[in-house]
Amino acid sequence: MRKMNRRQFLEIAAAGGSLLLLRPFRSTARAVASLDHTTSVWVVHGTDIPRMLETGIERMGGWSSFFTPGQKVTLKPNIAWASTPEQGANTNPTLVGACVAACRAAGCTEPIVCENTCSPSEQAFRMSGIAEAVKKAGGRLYALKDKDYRTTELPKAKILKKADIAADVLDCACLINMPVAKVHGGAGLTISLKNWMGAVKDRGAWHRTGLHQCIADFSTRIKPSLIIVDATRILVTNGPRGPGKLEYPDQLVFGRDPVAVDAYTATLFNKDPFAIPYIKIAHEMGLGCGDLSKVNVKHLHV
Amino acid sequence: MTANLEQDGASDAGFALRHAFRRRWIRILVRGSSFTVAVVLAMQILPWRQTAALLPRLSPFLALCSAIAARSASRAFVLTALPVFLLALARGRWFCATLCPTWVLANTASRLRPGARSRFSSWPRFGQVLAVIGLGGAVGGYPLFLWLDPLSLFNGFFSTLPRPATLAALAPASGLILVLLLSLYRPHVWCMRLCPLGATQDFLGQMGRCVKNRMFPRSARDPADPPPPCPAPVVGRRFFLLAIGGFLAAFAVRRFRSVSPSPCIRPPGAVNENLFVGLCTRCGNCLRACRYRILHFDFGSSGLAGLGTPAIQITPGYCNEWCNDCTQVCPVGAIQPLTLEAKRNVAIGTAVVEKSRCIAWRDGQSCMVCQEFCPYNAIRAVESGGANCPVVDDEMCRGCGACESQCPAFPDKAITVRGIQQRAAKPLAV
Repeated sequence: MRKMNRRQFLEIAAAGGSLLLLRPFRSTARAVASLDHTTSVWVVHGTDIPRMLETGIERMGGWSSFFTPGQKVTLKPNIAWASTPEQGANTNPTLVGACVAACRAAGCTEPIVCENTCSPSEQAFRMSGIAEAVKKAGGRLYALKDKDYRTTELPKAKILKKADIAADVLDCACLINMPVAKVHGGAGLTISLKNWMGAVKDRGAWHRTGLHQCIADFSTRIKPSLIIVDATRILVTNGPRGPGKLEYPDQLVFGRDPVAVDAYTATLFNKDPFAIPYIKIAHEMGLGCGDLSKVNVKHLHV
Repeated sequence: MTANLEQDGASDAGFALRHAFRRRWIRILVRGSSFTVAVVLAMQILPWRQTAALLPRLSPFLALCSAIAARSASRAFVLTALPVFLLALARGRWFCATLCPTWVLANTASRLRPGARSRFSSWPRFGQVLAVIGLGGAVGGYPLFLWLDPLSLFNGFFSTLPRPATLAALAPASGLILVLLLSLYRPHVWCMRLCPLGATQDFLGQMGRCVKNRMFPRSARDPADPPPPCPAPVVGRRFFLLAIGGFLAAFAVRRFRSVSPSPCIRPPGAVNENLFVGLCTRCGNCLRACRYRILHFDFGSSGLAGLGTPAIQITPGYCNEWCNDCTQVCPVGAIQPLTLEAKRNVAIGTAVVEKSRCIAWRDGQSCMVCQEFCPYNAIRAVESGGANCPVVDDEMCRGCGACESQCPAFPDKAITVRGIQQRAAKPLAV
């Protein structure tokens, strides 16, 4: 082997050094994803929903870590169906109301709650009890109409390259995804990743082109500031609409990583998270960590 | 003749009433307020939607024909139509210029061209012909000209309003518009010569006079008076021939079947199809009542006999499980009133999955949107090719079309609802 001269050594050293320089960036990115506050999932057990919410938010760093007074907050609960709170097809109205009230107390003038309902919106809003809860708490609830969407590119998506997404979901300082956990005939389970189907105009396209991939694709673009899963009661049969059999885990699941949150919540249904294709795809796409052995799940009781 | 009658009745309240009616302002007040009420009722803007049925229910023409065709009469209908019926026996056409909103419009249109010669008196009394043929048809189960009732025509105009102004949506309104155009062309011809409700009142008036003359012969009271000229016999040979013609026509009309393979989906509570197409007055009350805009004027998919009847077209809406509005407004009972509970348990159709179009059955996609949207849990999932695939539970399915309205299969829906003879569905669990 020929002896390396100084010039060659310097070249190789520069190249190697720059590689080393590249690596830290990637590993930092990964490190950020594995930092405690992103991958950990807070599970708050109890029955007093406003207190559970308060505790969860406190552990997540308080409202001030999500928005500063005066900023715009958008909540996306699941209000898809004309169904009563007891039937468990929609997010618990007490939770939505408490969250709107808490956001207002933290300085948001008028938290926005929006949904592209499945049942006629008026019925869904009224029967779910959410219309009343939001009104009482001082938020603004509205049904998404054609004019409320904006066509958006999803460059990192595999199938869903373009989607009409609710403008209020796109443009807000703090986006709170507030799904209800329940079984779903088409997708297996619906938790936080799938909840975004209520914030787009054309859901049918997702089904036609590949539901699970589209669900994962959407989260390449929309990253909520906070996820609060309503698992106070979960619909275990006849989902997503019900009426069906209910179970009562009495939990709220808090997190920033949608894949981790969904993976944990899937276990409430005695399901392996990776048996739900979209959780697996989202994990593989690096949208979060669905491997529960690597997720820091912390339980609290109030 | 009329003058005589007026002198006879000088002492009774009817005369006083008519005397008052000679004053212009009273006339305007009565007609104006009854017209306003008619518009308000037809628009269905009152919280009591059922009141939309009140106006057409005043018509003795509709009452007679539909009661004969259905072989039964609802108490509500008898109670509303009976006063008009009795007053027509005593006074003939009192209803027209007092309460009929179509008269107000036709009369206004007629006066717009004062120069136009009416010449209606030279026209034969087509209205009577229509009314008698209609009665004959009613005996055969299909009253032929219910849709010409002026009160149905009036309500039909308003059924169009909440819809986008397409040609099909305008169809129910065309009746009243044609009446107005006709009145511009030949003033007063509609009311005096064509309207079957007016003709029915003429008949009743004639009948009343005949009875009166027979019971209280003028000669008995004043022997000096010559016997009154007896009006033409109400029920003569011509009457019978026309009625028999109507009876036969009722069967002939129903022979023109539709070309479409699957029967129409009728609004919940509709009576059986054969009677439904006959009873329906095409008043459009149900079309107007339908919040989800799925009831449409049928252009022949239920045959000639069903032309203009209401039929459900699913997309984009469906027959919502929390709505029974259309069942509350039918004046003739072609759609029976259903409670919300009863409506939720009646099957108006049944959903059918076409596997060759279904993205789950055909492509193995995760979908089940039909099951997701089904309000009655009537769709089961079976595993096939690694994906859940839909199967319809026919006993549970109400044919509401929630599945069809949301099916993502493109361009043709993979799950569609077919009309059936309405029946009770399996009660809901829970």
